[in-house]
Formats: sequence, structure tokens, C-alpha cells
Amino acid sequence: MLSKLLKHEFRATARVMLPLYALMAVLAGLARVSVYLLDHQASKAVHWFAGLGVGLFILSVLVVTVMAVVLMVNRFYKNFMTDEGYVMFTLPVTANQLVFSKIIVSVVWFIATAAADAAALTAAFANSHYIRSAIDLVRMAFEKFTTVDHVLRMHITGYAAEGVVIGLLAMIATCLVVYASISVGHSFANHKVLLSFVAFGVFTTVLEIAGIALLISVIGPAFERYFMMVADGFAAAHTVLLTVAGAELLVSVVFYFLTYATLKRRLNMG
Amino acid sequence: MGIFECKALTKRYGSLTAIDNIDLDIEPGHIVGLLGPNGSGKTTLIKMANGLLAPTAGQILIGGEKPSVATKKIVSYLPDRMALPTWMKMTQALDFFGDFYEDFDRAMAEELLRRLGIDPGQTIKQMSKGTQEKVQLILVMSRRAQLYLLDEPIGGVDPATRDYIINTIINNYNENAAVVISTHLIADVENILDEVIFINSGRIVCRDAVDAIREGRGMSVDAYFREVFKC
Repeated sequence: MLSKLLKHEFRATARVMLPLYALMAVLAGLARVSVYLLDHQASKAVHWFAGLGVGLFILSVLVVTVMAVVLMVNRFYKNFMTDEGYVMFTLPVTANQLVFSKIIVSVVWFIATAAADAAALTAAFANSHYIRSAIDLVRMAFEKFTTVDHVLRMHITGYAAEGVVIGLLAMIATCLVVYASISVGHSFANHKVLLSFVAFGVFTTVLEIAGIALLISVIGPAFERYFMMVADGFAAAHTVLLTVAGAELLVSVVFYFLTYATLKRRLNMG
Repeated sequence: MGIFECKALTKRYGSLTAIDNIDLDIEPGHIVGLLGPNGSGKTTLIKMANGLLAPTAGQILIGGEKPSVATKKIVSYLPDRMALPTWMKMTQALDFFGDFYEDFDRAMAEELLRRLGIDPGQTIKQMSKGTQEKVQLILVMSRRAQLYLLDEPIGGVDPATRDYIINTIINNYNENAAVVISTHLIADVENILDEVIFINSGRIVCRDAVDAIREGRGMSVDAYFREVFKC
């Protein structure tokens, strides 16, 4: 049933995101022409229009990025907290499947949006010289990577994997903090939206305090051990990355169960 | 064993008791009217049967099981409001029901929609309120469910639409299933009911066969309801 939920969730979100990507692609083309005109034309009027073209493109990149986040919030709110909830919560699916479908689709759109933004910016502004340089840089880095000793190669691979995990967990944790805020806010009888914002404020404040505590108690001492030559740099960096990943995982688990428990208490689901 | 059972079922919201120690057993093959004034507990009872609300005490059982994924497979529920995502095109709404409910009869739904003249490419948002109500009912009644829970299916629609809705219910429900219709508009539905349950302040105040009320008391269900609930 999760696959069916995903299918319909992608259908619901693609109708918003795909036209925005298409608009951004068109404006990237306009920006590229504008940049050419700015470089090759002296006319003030042409510069004014070219500036407008570039401005519109930058605006479209911002809109697409913001929309990916807005959609993540709105789909959870609209689908579960408004009248649509009568349909969603009476489907023969578990509460876990409902929440997972929302997380997975949001994370996919975050990644797709980052890729679309990067592609659009490249298409708009990168000239062949820059693109060739970037390709050369990647090729050189790969060649270096294949020639360094296997211990260093192992560490670099580890950092890359840890980075990917941190990125994914950060996106999941962001979704879940928002979902938990909406769920908690809507468990009250009145002022549900306002209380959702209040819950979000409280949760993010608590997370910031916890983050500072983590910095002082684990990450700081890890670097200290490195600077005092007690631990090597590789180990210190792994400690930091794994601690961040662990913290993101903990946040995700806590806010997942807060979301689940609140929805279950309110709706007696699954 | 009934398809829909309540055992000492109670639901409280703080100090307010919405459902008060109800015992109930509805057998398959009956169309039952759950009748009561506004705020009597009809919607609360139906929401608990759908797992949308948790009982404070007692039990509610569908086919012998507490509300769960398994019971949602056999219950076809019409909420008391328009709940379909309005961005959906008609074909997408059919896909949605077809994907999640094994008992959904798509051909039957398409035929009912065709008779209504609904364009499959039209979004639900583009339809009038009355058409939205009809579409939602068609999707619900196109399931071969074991229990239909219809919450205020004729509330807030014009008389012609009421007739359409009532005809759609009686012509399309699975005859081996139980149908529970919650409403306070008794005159419109009493001709299709086998039995009625009067509910007031969360308690069942009367349960009887429609024929028994008509023959035994010499009055229509609507008249009897007015007598029971006279202010």
C-alpha cells in the first residue's frame, strides 16, 4: 500500500513542481540570452530588459526552492488536518505508511529541486570555459582519489558516505519537526494553526539548545583531542560527522514518534 | 454475529458525553436509519466505527474486529462533508479508489458518472456543490463493501439531488451488506429503511422495524420521530 500512497502523493505534488521546473527552465534560457546581451550590447534599454530577464530567473529559482518546502508543509496539513483527512484516515493503510509516504515524497522533491536549481543556474550562467574547468576539476579529483593510499581513500569514501547520510537525515528531520508541530498544534480544540507555529518555535528552540550542548560536549572535545595530538585528524572528523548523523537520527526518531503518537491519539489510527 | 456491534460504548469530550454506554448489533442485509437531532451523537458513533475517533470506554466492532486496516477494507464510508481532494480529476479519483479498495467496481462508477454527464477530465473543484456530493456518493456506493456508513448523505442538498442520492443508495448497495444512514431528514429516507435507531444525547432511545412503527403505532417514522423528540 505504501507504493500506492507514493504514486498518488507524487501525482498530487508533481502537478505543482513540474510546471515550476518548466518555468524555471524557460527563464534560464531567457537569463542566458540576457547575459549575452549584457556582454555584447551597449544600449541602456537592452541592459534594462536583460537585467529584468536575469532578475526573473533568479526569482524563479527562489520560488521553486521555497515551493518545495511549502509543498512539504501544505501536503501534510491539507491531506491530514483538513476535510481530506476523512478520506486519508479511512484508507486501508497504516499510520506509518501515511507518514512515510509524505516524508519520502518530500525528500525526493528536495533532492530534485536542488538538482533542478543547479542545472538551471549552470544553463543560465556557465560558459563553455567554466564547464570545461569544472569537468577537469572533477576528473583531476577522481584521478587523485585513485592514486592516494588505500587508508586515505577509505577515509574519503567514509566522509562522502557520512555526508550523504547527514544530508538525507537533515531533510527527514526537517520534515518530521514540521509534521510534529502541525500534529501537536492540531491536537488542541482551538487556534490550531497558531498553536502549530508555537509548537514549531518551541521545538526549534529546544533543538538549537541541544545542538549547542552537542557542540560543547562532543564536537568541541573531538577537535581538542586532535589539536592536542591525542587523536588524528581523520578520527576527529569522523567523530564529528558521525555525531551529527546520530543527532539527526535521534531528532528524526523522536519527532516521528511524536507525530505518530499525536495523530493516533487524535484519530485512533491503524 | 453482527457486522456492526457496540458494547457499552462511551465517548466523552472532557465533561461532555457524546456517546453514553451504547449497546448495538446490526446484522447484514438491512438498511438502518440512525436518526436523531443535531448533536445527538450520530456522527461521533460513525467516526468511531471508522477509526477516526477512539472510544473512551467500551468496544466498537466491525465484523468482530476493532477498527483497523482490516475493517477499513470492508467499510465504505461517506463523511458528512466533501472530503475528496478537489484538485483531482474525475479519472484520478477513480484511480485513487481503485488502487486502495479491492472491492471498488470501477465500471459501475464510470457508468453512474456517465449517466450524470460528468466529464472524466473535469476536476472536482470545477463541479457544483451538488455534483460534488453526487460524485462522492457514487465512489462510496461503487464499492462492494460489507458495511456502508453514510453520514448525513442528504444534508445540505436540494430535493432533486436528495432523490438522486437515495436512488443511488438503494440501486447500488451490496445486498449482503448492512447500510447505516445517519440523518435527521427522516421523511426523505424512511421509505428505504428496514429499521430505525433513534439516538438522543448519546443514548439509544428507540430501536424498531419501520413496518412495526407504521403498523403498531399507526404513524410514519417521521411522525413518530417528531413525537419522540418533541421539544
